[in-house]
Amino acid sequence: MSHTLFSIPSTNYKITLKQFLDFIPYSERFLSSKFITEKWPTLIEILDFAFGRIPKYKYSFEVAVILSGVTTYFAVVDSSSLFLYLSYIIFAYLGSLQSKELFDTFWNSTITFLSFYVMYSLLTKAIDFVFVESDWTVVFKNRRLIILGPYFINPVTGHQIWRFWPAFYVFLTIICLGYGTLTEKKQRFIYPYLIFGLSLLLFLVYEADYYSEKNEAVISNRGYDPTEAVAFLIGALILGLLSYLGAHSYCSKLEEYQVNYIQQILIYVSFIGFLGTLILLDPPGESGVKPSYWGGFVLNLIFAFGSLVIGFGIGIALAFGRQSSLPVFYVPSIAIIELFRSGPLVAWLFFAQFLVPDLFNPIWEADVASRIIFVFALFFGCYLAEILRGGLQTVPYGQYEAATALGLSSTQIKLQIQLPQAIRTTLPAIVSQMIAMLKDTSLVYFFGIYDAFKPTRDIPSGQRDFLGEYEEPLVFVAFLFWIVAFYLSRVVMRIETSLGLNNDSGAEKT
Amino acid sequence: MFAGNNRLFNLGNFGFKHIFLLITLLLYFNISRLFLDVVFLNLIPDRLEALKDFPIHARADSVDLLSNMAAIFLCVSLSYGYVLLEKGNLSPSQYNLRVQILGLVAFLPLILYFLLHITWLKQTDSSWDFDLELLHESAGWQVTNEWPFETESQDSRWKFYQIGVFNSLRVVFISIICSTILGIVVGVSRLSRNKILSSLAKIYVDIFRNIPLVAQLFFVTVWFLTVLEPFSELKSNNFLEWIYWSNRNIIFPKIEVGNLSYLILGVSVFLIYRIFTRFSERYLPTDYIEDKRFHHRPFYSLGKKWEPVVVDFLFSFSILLILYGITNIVDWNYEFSLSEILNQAPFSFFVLGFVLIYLASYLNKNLDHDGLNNFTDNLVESSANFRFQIRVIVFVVVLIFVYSSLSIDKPNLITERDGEELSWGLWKFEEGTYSDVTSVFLVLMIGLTLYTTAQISEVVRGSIQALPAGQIEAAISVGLSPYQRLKLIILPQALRSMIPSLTNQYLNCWKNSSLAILVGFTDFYSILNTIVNNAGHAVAIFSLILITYQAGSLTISVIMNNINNSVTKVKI
Repeated sequence: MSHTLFSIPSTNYKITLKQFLDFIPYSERFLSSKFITEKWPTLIEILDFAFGRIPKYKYSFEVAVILSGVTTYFAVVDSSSLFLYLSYIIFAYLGSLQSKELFDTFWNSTITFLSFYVMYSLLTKAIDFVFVESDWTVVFKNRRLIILGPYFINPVTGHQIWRFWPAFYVFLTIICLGYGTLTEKKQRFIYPYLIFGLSLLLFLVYEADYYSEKNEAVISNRGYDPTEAVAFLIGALILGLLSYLGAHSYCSKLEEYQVNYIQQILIYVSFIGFLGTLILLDPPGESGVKPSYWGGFVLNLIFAFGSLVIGFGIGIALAFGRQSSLPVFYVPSIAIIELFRSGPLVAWLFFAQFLVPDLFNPIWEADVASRIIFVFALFFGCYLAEILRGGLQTVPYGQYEAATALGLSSTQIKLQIQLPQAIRTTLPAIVSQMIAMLKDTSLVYFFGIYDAFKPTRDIPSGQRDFLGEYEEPLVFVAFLFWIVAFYLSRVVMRIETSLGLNNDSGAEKT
Repeated sequence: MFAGNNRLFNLGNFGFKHIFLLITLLLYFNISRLFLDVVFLNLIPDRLEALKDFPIHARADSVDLLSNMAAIFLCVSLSYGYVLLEKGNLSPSQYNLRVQILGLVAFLPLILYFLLHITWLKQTDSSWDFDLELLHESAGWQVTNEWPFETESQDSRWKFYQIGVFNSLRVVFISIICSTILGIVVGVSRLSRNKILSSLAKIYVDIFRNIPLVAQLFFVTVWFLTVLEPFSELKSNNFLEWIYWSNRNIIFPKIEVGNLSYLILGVSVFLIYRIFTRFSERYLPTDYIEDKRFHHRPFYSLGKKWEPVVVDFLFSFSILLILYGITNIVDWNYEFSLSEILNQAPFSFFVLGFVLIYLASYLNKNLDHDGLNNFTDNLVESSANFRFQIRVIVFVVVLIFVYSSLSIDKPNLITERDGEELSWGLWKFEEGTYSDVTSVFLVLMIGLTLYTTAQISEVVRGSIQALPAGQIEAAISVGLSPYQRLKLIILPQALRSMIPSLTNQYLNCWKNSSLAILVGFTDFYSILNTIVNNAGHAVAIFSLILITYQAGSLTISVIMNNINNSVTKVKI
């Protein structure tokens, strides 16, 4: 116990504490006590003394974390001192579980106290913001506006919302099938799936007619009838669960290459399903919903997925073009890639706004949304091409020679030998680029499109009941983006571990 | 009749591939017909002035027919070319040539379309006029962030563009520096053994990486609006009337160099102290290289004791010259006219100083290489005490000199005129008594910094984790403390490997600065956007935007590549 927090080093100083205390009268009794003559207890010893006898179970850390959160919640919300002290005790217990790592040296203890202070103040601020200060009715009343935009919640045109349900069914089924092909433990999928379904159900089930104090009247939420939506949702959830179970039991009997083949088919089906969704939303003719009427968070998702689907084609073409040794292919590819990578996305949205109509007007009279998808796809494609080029360079040349020796054509070699290997090594980077793309879709707000961020500015300035309530809608929309992006980033990590790309050889704790 | 290797006509092999090819051909036919329509439309006589003397023209009523015919011709020739390619029997060079010709023919409608249509647009649409003359006209509006320039609304748009570029550079430079420092701190703390610290860093990164930058800028804006009180409450929001803050801007006292000679005196005292301590109280080197080449060590004849002293004097002198130059250049008002600059003495001093500092550092490097700068400290206690006393004295003297050279103005808030109390809308600070930081600048700077920090911390973490474990094990076995391990072993190696990905993040930061338009900060993108809205010429302005971003990106890349080269010169 050489490094202790409160021990007094007696030899290093010329005047020891004892000599100093000699100058104070009546100090003999104090000096003779245990308190001075023996070493002071360290923080680790104190914590061990206080909590050491509590038996440790497998989940005691997690339970303590949850309990500390709950007690802090009551301490903040009810401002009760009982829960405040209780939460302090539980935090101290948490500290005792990790005491060797947290309090071993003086500086480490200082860092612990400082970061605990920051964390505790953030926690209390967050609890205060979420449960006390904020009035979430503004988000609750406008939840459909934020998700879908104004067109689909309008009483006159709202019936068009059926156009989203097939897409929801298809994509939920595809995702569930995809999870089924992983053949992991069932509860790893089913519990999150149930939470997801339940939260969606809660999201849809309320009619949300509300009494407006300023208008002194009950305001109906634009004729929204939850029964239909809830019935559709429950159907979709059950279908998803069944497809998961089916895929799980079917794929657990198959070999790995067969499962890979099924996963490949699922990816193609999702691409086709996306194009089908677009066609269902806006079929040729007058009956559909034009892209300029789409809105909300769904619009962001459509933009992101659309740029993914179209941009993947562009990216693959550009990557092979850039790899090619023929000037007819590599000169334009390099020109396009470098041109699009030179400017920020905002500048290219400027291009979509002002110049694309001029350039393509005789053959393609596109509205703003389609133009923006076009530019997003090109932008994504160029970044993807650079990522794929890196992947293609790592494919050994022997693969090409072997494929040529087998008599494959150059297209077959590119698409069936080189591309899969390139995608395999660059998949994490591609998904990260997808996340960046999803986040970048929030930029379309500049161009007057009703994306998820538009209502966060419109509601506080436009709706009489919620004037000046800027923070809550913003937090909600940011939370939506956060959930999707966070989920995708976890997917990246899973891909990295499953492909064996995760190399944490030197992960030393500093 | 048809030999087996001609697969396209062998119906027995007709499969998915051929269906795919047919669908592609059909799509190609439809799309190329659309493009060719416009091409032949532009070939109608008297439509394009540029094609007045062109021999081939199309009749107005036959455009549809012509485009159909041309599209069919293209499709047939492309399929024939494809069949010939598939047949094989070609040497690689022949194959390559034919593939290229095929590609060119396939993209012919697109190329022709763009050529003729852009000619048509240039003829009819003013926004496709490719000249930047409009930048020399007067702008007619005002910007809020114009420091250090001063503008009026009659000034040319070119000047506003310069202001914009300067603003972007300013905000990006500050956020890059802040986010690099913070990113290293956060990235290292994420790997800390201290669970609270590491989870704090993890929460930070997970939140800020996965929320769009737009949302973060909104948050910072809202936060500023709620935390900082409005301008009308200015009187209660100040620190001893030296610093004022409101949600419009933050006012600092104006600090200027009033008396240059005192400043130069102070700096020269410091430099002399540096030379003195470097050479007086140390032992001389015992092993060094003799090198008499004049271009390598021109002061060789002075001997090993005085040669470094002279080089150091040269170095210090050039710093003083640069200082003199800079403090006088500030008065130029940033109008770039070469003849005016060259006539000014400060500029010549400035240039001379730069030449000398380059020379001095070159010589210093040579001395380092030859081992003449390898002095060892005199560790005798009396000598150390003497150094300490000298240090204190010099510190005090330099402080006094620098303080007396500065002129510090207290910001003077004018709330009255002729004895009458003004309403808060008319309050202002007396000119020349304050310097301000606008809140939009702070919002953009903080937003960019938070976002880039999260990205950079991931880079730092990745490169630390990629270190071979043996390095750290060796450091532990040598007996280094955790802090020494971090400072001497981990960070130097990790920083080497992370520079390429760091460059990427800096480029992202530079491009993300275009979101200034969202918070109302006038970077060059938002200024050029306003110019397009006022005066058109979208294409020229758009090219200017791209060129400016590309120039900035290239500058960052070149700087970072230089750093990378210098850092990775030593191979591990």
